[in-house]
Amino acid sequence: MPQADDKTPFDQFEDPARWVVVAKSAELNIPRPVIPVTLRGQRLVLFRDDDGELGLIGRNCPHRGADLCFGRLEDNGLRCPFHGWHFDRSGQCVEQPAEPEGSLMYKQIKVPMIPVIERDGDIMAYISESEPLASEPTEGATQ
Amino acid sequence: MISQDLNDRITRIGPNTPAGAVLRRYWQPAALAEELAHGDNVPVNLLGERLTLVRDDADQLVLATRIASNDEPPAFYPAAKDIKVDHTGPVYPVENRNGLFFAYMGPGTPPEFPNFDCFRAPDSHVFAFKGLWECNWLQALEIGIDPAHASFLHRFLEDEDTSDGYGKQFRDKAADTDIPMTQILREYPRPDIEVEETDFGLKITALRTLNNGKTHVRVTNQIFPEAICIPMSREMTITQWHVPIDDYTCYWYTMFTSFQKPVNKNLMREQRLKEHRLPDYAPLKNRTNDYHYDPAEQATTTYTGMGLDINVHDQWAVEGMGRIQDRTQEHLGRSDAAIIRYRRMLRAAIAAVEQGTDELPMRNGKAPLDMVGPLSNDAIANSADWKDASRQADLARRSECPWDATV
Repeated sequence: MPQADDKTPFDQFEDPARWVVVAKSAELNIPRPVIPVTLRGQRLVLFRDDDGELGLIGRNCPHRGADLCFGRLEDNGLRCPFHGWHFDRSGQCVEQPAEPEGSLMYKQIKVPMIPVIERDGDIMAYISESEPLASEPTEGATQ
Repeated sequence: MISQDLNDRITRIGPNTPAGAVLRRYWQPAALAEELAHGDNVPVNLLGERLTLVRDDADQLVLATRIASNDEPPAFYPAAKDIKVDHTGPVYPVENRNGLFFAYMGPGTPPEFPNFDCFRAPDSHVFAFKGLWECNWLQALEIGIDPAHASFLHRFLEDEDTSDGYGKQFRDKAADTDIPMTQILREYPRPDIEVEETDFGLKITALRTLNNGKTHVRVTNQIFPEAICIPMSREMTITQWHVPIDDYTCYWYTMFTSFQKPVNKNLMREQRLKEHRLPDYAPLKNRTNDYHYDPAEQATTTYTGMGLDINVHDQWAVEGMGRIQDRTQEHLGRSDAAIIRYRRMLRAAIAAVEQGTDELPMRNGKAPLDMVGPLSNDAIANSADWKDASRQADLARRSECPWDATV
C-alpha cells in the first residue's frame, strides 16, 4: 500500500482503499507519455510533464470539448490542438494564446484533476471522499 | 456554459423538434448529382428521416420516404434494388443546383434560393463534394465560424511550396503578397474578430495586425441556418453546409466556386476520393484509426500530427467533443464571438417558429434573390483603411470573372 512521504502532497493515505491502479508506469515509457484513462466512467487523460510528474485531468478541453488525448505535450503541460489552451498537471489553464493580449480569463479555467501517485510500477488515482467506494453499499443505490 | 435543456433545444433536429423546425424551413443539401450513378433509387438520410431520391410519375426527381429498419446505421446506403418506397410517408421537392440536389422538407412554399456565387456561377466553375462526420451538426458548423482556430489546429510548423496548393485550403499565398497563408496564421494567432448580422446570417471579419502597419483581413460568413462561405484560395471560395443525418451524424456538403478559371473537377474529385470511401463518403482517417495520428509528426510538422489535410483536423476537433458536444461544460472566450452571435440567431429563429411567424433570415420578406456574394476573401491592407481595401480586393476579382459575379 502507498505510504505518505514528503513527495506526496496528499494526506489521504490513511484510507488506502480509495487509491486505485489506473495504469502501469511502463505504459508511459513512450516518446510521448500521454494515454487515455477511464476512472469510474469519467474520461481522463494521464500524462507525464517535463518535470517527470504525472497529471491526471479531464479528457475534454473546457473550452469547446476537444479531446486532450491528442494534445501537444509541451511547455511542461498539455496543450489543446484546437486553440492552444495550455494546462499544467494540476489541470489549471495557464495560457490561452488566441484570446486578446492581457486577457486573464485563463485564471478562471481549470480542468477536473484527480490526485495521482506512482508506486512500484503502478500509477494510482484517488477516489474522492464524495464518491462511494464499490464495496460500500450506498443509501438509495438500488433506486 | 449553457443548460442541458438549451443544448438539446439547439442541437436536436428530428421531426417535431424546435431546431428541426427551423432547418426544415430552408433548402437542405440532400445528395450529390454524381450519386445518381447509384441507380434509380439513391438513399438519402436527412434530418432524422430515411428517404430516397426517386423519379415521380411526372419524371421529376423527388425525395420520398423509404422503408427502413430501426437498426440501420446512420449513413446506411443500401443498393438501389433493395430500396422500397414507403407510399404512406411524405414526399419532398428537390432542385439541382450546380451538381448538388437540395430538398425542401418544411411547410408551405419553399423559399427562393439566394443569388450567391455558388448558385450564380456556371456548372463549369462549381465542384460539389461531401463527407461524413460522426457528430452533431451544430458543433460541425461552429468550427466554421471560429476564425481563430486556423492559427492553431491548422498550423504548419513549416510552410509548403504554395505552387502545389491547388484545390487545398490555406495553401495559397495571402492576398497579393508572397507570404504563404500558413505563415500569417502561425505568426498572428490572436485575431480581432468583428461580427455583423446580415440579411442572410453573419459577416465575420478576422483582423490580424501585421508588424508593418498592414492588416490581414479575412472575411468569412455564416449563411443561416447551417452553412458557411469562406475563401479557399485567391481563385476559389467554399460554400459548405453541415447537414444533419440525425442528431449524432452529419454530412458536410461543399460547393467549391471558382471566379476566373473553370474548376479542375477531375483533380478536385481525385484529391477527395483519396481521403473518402464510397458509397457513403466516409473519411478513411477517422475515430477508429485515431485519424492516423503520428506523435512524431505533431512534434515537427503539424499541430495535430494528423497530416496536411485540414478537413481531417476539423473532423478530429468536432468528433472528439462527443456525438453531441456537452455545452454545459464549455467556456467560450472572445475568439468565440461569432458562435455566441449565431446561437442567439438560432434561438430567435426557434422562438419565431414557435410563435408561428416567419421572421427568419431569408424568409422575412427580404428577397433572397437580392442577396449576392457574399464577400468572402483574404486581403492585406493598410491598417487605416482595411474595410475599403477588403471590398476593393473582392471587386477586382469579380471584375475579371467570365460569369456575372457583380455585387
